Amino acid sequence: MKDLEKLKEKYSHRHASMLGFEQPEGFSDQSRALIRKKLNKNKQNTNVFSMRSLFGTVAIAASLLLLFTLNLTPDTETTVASETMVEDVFVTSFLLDTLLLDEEVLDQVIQESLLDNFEENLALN
Amino acid sequence: MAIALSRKTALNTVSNPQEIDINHLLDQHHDRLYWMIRKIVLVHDDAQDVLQNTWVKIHKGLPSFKGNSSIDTWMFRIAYNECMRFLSQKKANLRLDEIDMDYIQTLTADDYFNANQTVTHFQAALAILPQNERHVFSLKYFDEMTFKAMVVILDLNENSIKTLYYKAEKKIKTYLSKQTIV
Repeated sequence: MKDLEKLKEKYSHRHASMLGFEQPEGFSDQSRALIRKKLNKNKQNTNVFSMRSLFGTVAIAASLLLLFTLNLTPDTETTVASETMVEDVFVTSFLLDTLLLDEEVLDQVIQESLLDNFEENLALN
Repeated sequence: MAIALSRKTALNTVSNPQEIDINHLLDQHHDRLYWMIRKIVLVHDDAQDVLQNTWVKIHKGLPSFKGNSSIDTWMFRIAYNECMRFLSQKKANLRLDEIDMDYIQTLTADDYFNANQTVTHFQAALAILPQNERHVFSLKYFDEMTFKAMVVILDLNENSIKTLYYKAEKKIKTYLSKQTIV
């Protein structure tokens, strides 16, 4: 290895003198300038891309918010459903009131209730 | 020597990778990376392309550099990966009969190769090595990389790298002694 190290020390510019690699004149500076230009361009592209991503994200978020808001607004169907809910509550409370009654008493209450309802309808007509 | 030391301390003891300036790195490491790449891809124009791609990758990867290895080693690893990618693409694009174009033929086809006698002997000695031995030898002998740094760059274990290096060294010495250069 010592021989190889001596050989290396003998040559000042090893890549050119030992390996024969040459470069065009002024390559180093030109290449640095070219790479700097490329990196700046790349940076600008990244910034534009970030702005686009930001706008995209905002647009998607706004669309989702709009959809969510529209779903919360009550429409006619919702109103009908809530009325049905009121009726259901009435029936449920009626059933609860009569739940503990005996079968015979319950029959009587139902018949009276139906009769009242029939008379009420008759009076209205 | 003083310049080399200040560069070494400035870049190898980076505490916050976000503070590293790409322009400073470019000024300091452009030539080293170029020569490392040139020794692998051989042709100047190819080395220039690979070098540009390497710097774009370094620029993109800099925010995620964690400082687990020195920045030099990290950059050399990116450059080495770019070289390997380039060589595999080149191989894929070649016709079957072109693949046999050997090391010396590739060198001599380049306009920026000066083949004097010593050079030819040294390059001929490198040409007899398998690719992995040649890369290890070049990184150690010409780029003066440590075996530990090569572990990161080549993704091989240290003992394998040492074995490859000593094999390469022995072959080169034998070849050059026959040519009465060493």
